[in-house]
Amino acid sequence: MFLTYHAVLVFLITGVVMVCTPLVLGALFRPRNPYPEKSMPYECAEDPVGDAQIRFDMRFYSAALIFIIFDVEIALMFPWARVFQGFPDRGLAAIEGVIFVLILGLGLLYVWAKGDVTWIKSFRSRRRVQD
Amino acid sequence: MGVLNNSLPDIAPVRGVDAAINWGRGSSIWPMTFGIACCAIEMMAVYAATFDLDRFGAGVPRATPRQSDLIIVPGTVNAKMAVRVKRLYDQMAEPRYVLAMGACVCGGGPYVKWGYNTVKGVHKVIPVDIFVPGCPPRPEALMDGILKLKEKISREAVFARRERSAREMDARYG
Amino acid sequence: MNEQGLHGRLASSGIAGIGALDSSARDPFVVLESAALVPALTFLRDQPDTRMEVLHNVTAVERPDAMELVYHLCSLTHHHSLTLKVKVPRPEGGNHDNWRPEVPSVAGVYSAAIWHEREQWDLLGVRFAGNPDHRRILLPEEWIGHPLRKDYVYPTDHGGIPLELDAVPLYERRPGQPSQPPKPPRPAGTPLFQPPAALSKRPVGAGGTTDEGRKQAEALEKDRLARRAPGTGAGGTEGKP
Repeated sequence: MFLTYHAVLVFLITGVVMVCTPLVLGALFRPRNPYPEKSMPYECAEDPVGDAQIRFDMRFYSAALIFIIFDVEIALMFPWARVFQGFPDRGLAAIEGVIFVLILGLGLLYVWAKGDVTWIKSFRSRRRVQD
Repeated sequence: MGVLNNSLPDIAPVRGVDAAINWGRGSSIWPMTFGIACCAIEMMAVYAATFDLDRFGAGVPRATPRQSDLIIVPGTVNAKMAVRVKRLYDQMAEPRYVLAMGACVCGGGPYVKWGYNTVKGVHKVIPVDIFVPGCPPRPEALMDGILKLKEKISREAVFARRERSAREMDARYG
Repeated sequence: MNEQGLHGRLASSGIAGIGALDSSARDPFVVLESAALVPALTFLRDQPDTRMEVLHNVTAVERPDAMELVYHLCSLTHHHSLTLKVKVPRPEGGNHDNWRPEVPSVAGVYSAAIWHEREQWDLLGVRFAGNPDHRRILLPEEWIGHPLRKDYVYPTDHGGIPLELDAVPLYERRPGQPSQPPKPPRPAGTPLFQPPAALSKRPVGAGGTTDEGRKQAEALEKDRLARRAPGTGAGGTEGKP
């Protein structure tokens, strides 16, 4: 039963072997000589100053989150579209699909209104509104 | 060093593998962009078009010591700078090579008699493979130095259990 | 206005302590008392017929009997310049370890003087009373001593970095061994490196503009050619036809 997938097994094994062989050979052949001055973080040859962890902008996080949500929505649409033909009641299936998209679209509207989809937020426009 | 370094018998196949590895290492010596003083101008001239260093495989200067094989030290090394040079050399990954370019770096140069703040030769601070004298050395002289370094690399023993030089044996410096 | 005119204006300004103009040098200079320094510079900068806006340089010269401070002033509107000198006498037994001559700072008159005075403090140990930024400028902050003094003792290392020609390299030091071969302590004022006696066998007087030197040089040249190609001695150097 699984014989139809023997090509996949061959590819899988080849891929794993091709990745692991250079890693193993490299670990065997390369010089390994760590000492504290070598492991120090590189700061243009000065003594390292400050924390190694930097604070990143929250906009990256919110953009990634919005992407994940809508990507999962798209992924869930695919099986729905695939089995759409087999449904006895296609009208109900269509309405349910549209309701699903609309609910998530409501979420997109909320995020849009809050301003989380604009990257550059300028203060000047707000100042003009106040005048 | 690695598990198999300097542990195989010194027979022809092992020497052949050594030669291949040394050919690879010597033909792609990536220097670090580290210009200190006047000799750096001649070093830049060597990277540039007229005296192109890229044809020897060494024309990919890296900005960080982690990715470079060779540190060319051009220019007078002060006491202030010597600390940084040593730290940069420490942060390079093996196999690493040092080329001392210029009279100041080879043995003090014009500052050998009255220089109160200069290190009389960077070999007091880091182990040097190739010395290229001159004030400044001509670009052809620097290219000659890099080719001599390639020759020196081709004589190294990677796998074969051959006698290694004192510099190679130093556990701390490679 | 030439230097005589400038000196005349300065002398008639009413500031006490202006000395005579010394025209023996290529740049005629005026010697001042240190108390007259700041009033004189302010006068020269602000008077409309002198208007010396630019302070080119503040430097110092260590003499056996005094420390001379030299100020080079220049005017861009009138295209004249003047050199001023202040001499601080050296006390009895004043040497590198205990003498720091004190001079009022002109940083309030010319801001460019801040860095020049920092350099003189760094290299020669001249204190400037009133300089807002009195610290070393060229050498590392933790350096001890003022290297351009004539009786400065050159250090053997700084912060672990060896500064001598025959020091043992850092990567060859083993614990328990000295960092350079033992030597007698170096007296103040001697250089770091003395070349060995005769690096070349050429006599010192050979060559040059004297007849004796030229004869020696020709003899050496003939000798060299004879050694290189025996049989081709003959007189005269090869020149263009």
